[in-house]
Amino acid sequence: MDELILEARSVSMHFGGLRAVDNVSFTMRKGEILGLIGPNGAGKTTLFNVISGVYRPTSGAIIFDGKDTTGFPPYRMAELGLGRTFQIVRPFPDLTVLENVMIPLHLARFGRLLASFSSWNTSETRTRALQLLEETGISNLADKRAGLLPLGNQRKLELARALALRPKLLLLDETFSGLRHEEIDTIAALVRSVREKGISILLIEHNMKVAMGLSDRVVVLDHGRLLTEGEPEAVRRNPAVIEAYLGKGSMSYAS
Amino acid sequence: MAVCSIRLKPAKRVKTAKLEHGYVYKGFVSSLHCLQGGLDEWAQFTGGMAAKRAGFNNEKMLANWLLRCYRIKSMNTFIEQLLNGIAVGAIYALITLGLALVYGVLRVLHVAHAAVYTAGAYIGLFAYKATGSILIATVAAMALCGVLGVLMERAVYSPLLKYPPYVPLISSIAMFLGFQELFRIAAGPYIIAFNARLPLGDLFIGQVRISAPILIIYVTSALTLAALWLLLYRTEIGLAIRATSQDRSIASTMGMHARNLVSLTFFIGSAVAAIAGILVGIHYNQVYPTMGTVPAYKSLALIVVGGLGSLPGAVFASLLLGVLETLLIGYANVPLPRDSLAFIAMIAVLLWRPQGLFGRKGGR
Amino acid sequence: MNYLVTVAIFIGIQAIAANGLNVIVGYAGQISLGHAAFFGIGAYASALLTTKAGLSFWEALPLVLVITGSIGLLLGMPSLRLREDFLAVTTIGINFIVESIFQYIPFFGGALGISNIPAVRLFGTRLRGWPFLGVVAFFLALSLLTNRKFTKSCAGLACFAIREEETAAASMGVSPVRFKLLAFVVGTAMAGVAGALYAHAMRFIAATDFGFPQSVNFMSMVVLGGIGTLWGPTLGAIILGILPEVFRPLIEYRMLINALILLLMIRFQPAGILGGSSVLARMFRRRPQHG
Repeated sequence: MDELILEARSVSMHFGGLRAVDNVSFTMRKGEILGLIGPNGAGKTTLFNVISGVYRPTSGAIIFDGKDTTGFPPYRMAELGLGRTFQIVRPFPDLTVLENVMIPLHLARFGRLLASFSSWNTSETRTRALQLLEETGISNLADKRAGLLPLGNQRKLELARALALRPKLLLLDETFSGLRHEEIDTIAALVRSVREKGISILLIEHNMKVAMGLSDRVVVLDHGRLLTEGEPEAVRRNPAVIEAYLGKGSMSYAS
Repeated sequence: MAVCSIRLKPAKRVKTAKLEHGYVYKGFVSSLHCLQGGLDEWAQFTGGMAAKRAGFNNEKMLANWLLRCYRIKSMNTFIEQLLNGIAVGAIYALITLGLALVYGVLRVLHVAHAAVYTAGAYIGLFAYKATGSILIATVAAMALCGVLGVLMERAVYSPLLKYPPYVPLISSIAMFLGFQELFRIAAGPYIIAFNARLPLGDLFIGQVRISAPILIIYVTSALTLAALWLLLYRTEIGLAIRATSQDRSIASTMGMHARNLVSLTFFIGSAVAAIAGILVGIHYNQVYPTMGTVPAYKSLALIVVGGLGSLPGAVFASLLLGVLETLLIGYANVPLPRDSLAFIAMIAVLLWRPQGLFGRKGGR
Repeated sequence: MNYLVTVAIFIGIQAIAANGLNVIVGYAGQISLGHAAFFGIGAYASALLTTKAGLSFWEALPLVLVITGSIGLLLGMPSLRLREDFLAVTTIGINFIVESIFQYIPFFGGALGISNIPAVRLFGTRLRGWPFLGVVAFFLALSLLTNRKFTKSCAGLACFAIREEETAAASMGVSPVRFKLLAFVVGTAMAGVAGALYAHAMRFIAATDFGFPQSVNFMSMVVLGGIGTLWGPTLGAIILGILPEVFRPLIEYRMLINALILLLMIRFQPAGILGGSSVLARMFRRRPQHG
């Protein structure tokens, strides 16, 4: 049990009559990359939102690093070591890239009233932020306004911001969608290097090739329910999974 | 013996009744009961006296009969006040509806709507004085105010939509204040009497008197609301307007210019406000530059209570407030400042339902 | 000369209140159209404490801060549950209700207000004219310093983040509740101080001084000078304070000119006079439409 970074126990998220997530349970070991896949509308982002605290689940529990964090608000989850990126990128548009990354670096200070009065624009913060930008490969854009960046770089920025939190678990929401091949390869390499640092990664991805290629294990959702889980190869050949995708006719199975 | 006892006791009781419940009360709160009780006592007393004088054996019967008369009389007053309240509410509804329409398509709190309303009153006044026909005056006011509304939208609001919401809001407040000053400079700060000659007289239903202005308000607002309802719920354009309220991009898929749709909505809302302005001018016989101040704030509170952008909500909240204001404060004399009631009600509703009475949860 | 000093005093007092509004609207991005209510709460608090409880201005000041700040905390709670437009109307409503409370409850002097408010004394001497202007200038400097420190602090950073992208900010450990309320407390406390100074400058206050038009006034100053800038509100206060004097011959048209200036400014340069140049003003610029 010490090994588990995340555990979802019978998590359900109902919006009125709509069962976006229906009794989903799975576990995630420390240091692994878990892929969350499924056709459109399967409830993946909703599940993410439940885990990261945006929604409080209708029923069920989220155990994060051994602690029951069901219903904890997003900022508390961040304090506990959960970082996430967003499907629709949300940079602070009028700040520079560097400033964007400097903000999450002050995570510790946001939580304590007195500490929050200390200055944010210190040289050590800038140095550390620059370091993060280098790691994600956008240090040359440090002084550009974040809102003006092309998508690929904005995704890298999201990653850098999430990493600034020194997370134990990183939630990546469709980080690869809308990117060109070269960008996908770059960011995939980034993700792997993040895992090398010991950070567990849970990712949502529509791009099957990427998802299967990156993940150690895969969890498949369909209509809010857990369809199956296991190693990518096994899942890929699972007839139920194939039917879920082809039956919907929505996703390109192999890109 | 029985007669004596009736004579003595009621005399004393009425005196105290007069002081306690009486017609001259020093305390703030008088409830319907108190008034009713006072009237009861008085009826008992006079009934008894009159019966004795007239030689009736059954004073009680006469007393009861008089009692019923007084009850009916106070009941009549109540009904009259209720009808008054509905009339006030109807006027609020006309103003608030325009505000709700505009908010629905543009998501702007159009405080300057009250300036359009005041403009309507002034234009109507001068047009009436010039032509002697209320109908022409109303049409003129509707047309000109409609144009004014569209001007406000095109020149000020639409270019500012890309900014945070308080930017159009402040521009609206600035326009509102500016127009008030314009009215003051152009027409003078004094109250001008409308002095409209109405083609109707007072109406009497039983003992209840409905004055001519109130009647006009009922007829006009009913017609306007009906026309609006037909327009919004039975025509394609109305459908387009309602659809745009939910999602602005839908308008273009329906083959209509979103821009023109928005302007049209402003036109309609402003024209309706003009009607309200004229009605108020006729009913209270007053037109003055700052007559829009109170409606401006009240209608803001009302669309919040109704649920921002909800048209039925706006109407319902307006009628409710009109009745509450008239009955609670005018009739029962509850010691709340009349114009704050709207905001107090708003806060009460928001505590219970943050999206307003008819508002949709979560969606904009 | 004396007259100019009086004008300067009032400009200074309004600038302090405008700086407070800037924290709420400019730094934290929350709408507050009821700022005059807190201006009034500070004024009445100081007036009552000095007239009825016999405290001196300086002794009453910490209490004024606490009272205004706590009520600001309380009334800032709606901003947590309500979206922008609801919030705007609610703050207007709060203004009206607070004004009504001052107007109708006898404890606050009712329609007659509170009079005979003592002058501010320093070491026994009554401060009028220049010395009082010095006091006002002192507090103005204090408010500017507070704002500057705020923008440099992590708390200020958190407020900016909330204002720009609340969801992203939350995922980074910024609690929207905590920092929005913090902004309200700081902003309203500043307004309270300004109100206290106002009470002792005027020596007489009444409920009508603190109605919605005054809130619009404060908002105009902030907008004119530049929302979210450091010197913007002060600049706005100076301009709007001097304007009536400059246009004294046109006093008939004064309000119209005020409204026109506000309209033109917000229509063509919403970032204000100082907007677009300072670092913080950059944050004001076009915010993407969500949803």
